Amino acid sequence: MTVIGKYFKPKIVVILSFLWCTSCYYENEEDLYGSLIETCDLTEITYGIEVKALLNTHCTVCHSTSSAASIGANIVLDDYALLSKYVDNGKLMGSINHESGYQAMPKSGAKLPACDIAKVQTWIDNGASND
Amino acid sequence: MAHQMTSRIYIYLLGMFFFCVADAQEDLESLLDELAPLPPQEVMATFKSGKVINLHTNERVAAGNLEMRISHRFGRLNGGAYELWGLDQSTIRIGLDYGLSDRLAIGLGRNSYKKIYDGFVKYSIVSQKNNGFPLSMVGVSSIAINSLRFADETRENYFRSRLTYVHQLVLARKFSDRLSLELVPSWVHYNLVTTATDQSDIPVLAAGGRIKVSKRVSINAEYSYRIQFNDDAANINDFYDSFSVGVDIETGGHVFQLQFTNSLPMVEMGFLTETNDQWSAGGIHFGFNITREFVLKH
Repeated sequence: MTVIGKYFKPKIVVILSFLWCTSCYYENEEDLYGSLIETCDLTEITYGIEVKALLNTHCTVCHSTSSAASIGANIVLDDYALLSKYVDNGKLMGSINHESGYQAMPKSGAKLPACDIAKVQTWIDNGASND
Repeated sequence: MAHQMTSRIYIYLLGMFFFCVADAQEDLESLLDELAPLPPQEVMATFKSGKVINLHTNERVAAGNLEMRISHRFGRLNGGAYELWGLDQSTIRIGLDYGLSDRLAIGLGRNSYKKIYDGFVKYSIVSQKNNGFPLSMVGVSSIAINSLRFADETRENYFRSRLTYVHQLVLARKFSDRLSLELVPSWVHYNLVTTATDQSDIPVLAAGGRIKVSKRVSINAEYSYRIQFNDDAANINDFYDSFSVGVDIETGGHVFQLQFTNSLPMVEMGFLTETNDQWSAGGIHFGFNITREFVLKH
């Protein structure tokens, strides 16, 4: 076997080319989808529509009435009365903003998209009503 | 008569042969003694495992071996007694590395951080030798696939936006039985960044090392420095450089690595460029890596 044949078997070449030859892109979300501030609509934020949907996407896998006791540290976020408790004591915003002194959420380590955080903040600033 | 003659010639020739061989051997031995006291030998065990803590070392899984690596990083130490100093939360990476040849290893992993799948290829370019080449050079290419749901599923999303590449060159040297150091110039490329001022390419200069304190225990440390081209790049300003210190403990087929680090992610693109805690602010995480090697092929 030649020296080249010894190290560059076909399957290895396939793996290497997968890693090195996949084309690189230089893209950013502003150019692809428009400015984040422009596309983030904060005019009518209601608990019933935006906030609930957002909590369902990001939080209630663990923090629902049925799952909180086992995997959600008993923190229930799919019930307005229970959610209000965490709005009032600042833990909801502290956690999703990853502020020090609060549990950073979600646990995957990455923050929610800026627009989603802005929506929750706007709802709270408007009085966090059950609408 | 003739027969006797031939026998004598044979004996004579045989005697000459032995004489010559003995003579030549003496010459060769003396030459070897003078010119090459030891033939160049590959330096083994520069590090105990394939990672210093998060950073790749020059060590690879041997050909035909499969290594399972389980890594955990817990919550912040400053969470206090209520969070048991972070032990209530954990981030995990499970990885499998396989040695295709003595020079080439591949690995796959899954991270709870951003639900990332990662894969890498590690190729030994040259090894450090006693009385020979002074460094080990190993190339590492890795790819990370973010598998979180897209932030906005209503807009047109592309698979390529999930990909981040990291290319690294590990330059390692075993200075003595106790001390090994490495320098790892790295290049991180994001296919998609958030704003136009963010850096798609982030060069990182990383360094690591170990000091053995006993046959089975060593103290390790690593640091990585991100290079900024654009002062407004939020994807650099919002994060910190990664710094970790730890201990390696070797027991039979296992290596236990215990560490303190400000990086939660354990995948290359994560700890090099997305470390969002600060040592000075108490953003320190306890963690461990455990490896176990299985021999699949002899």
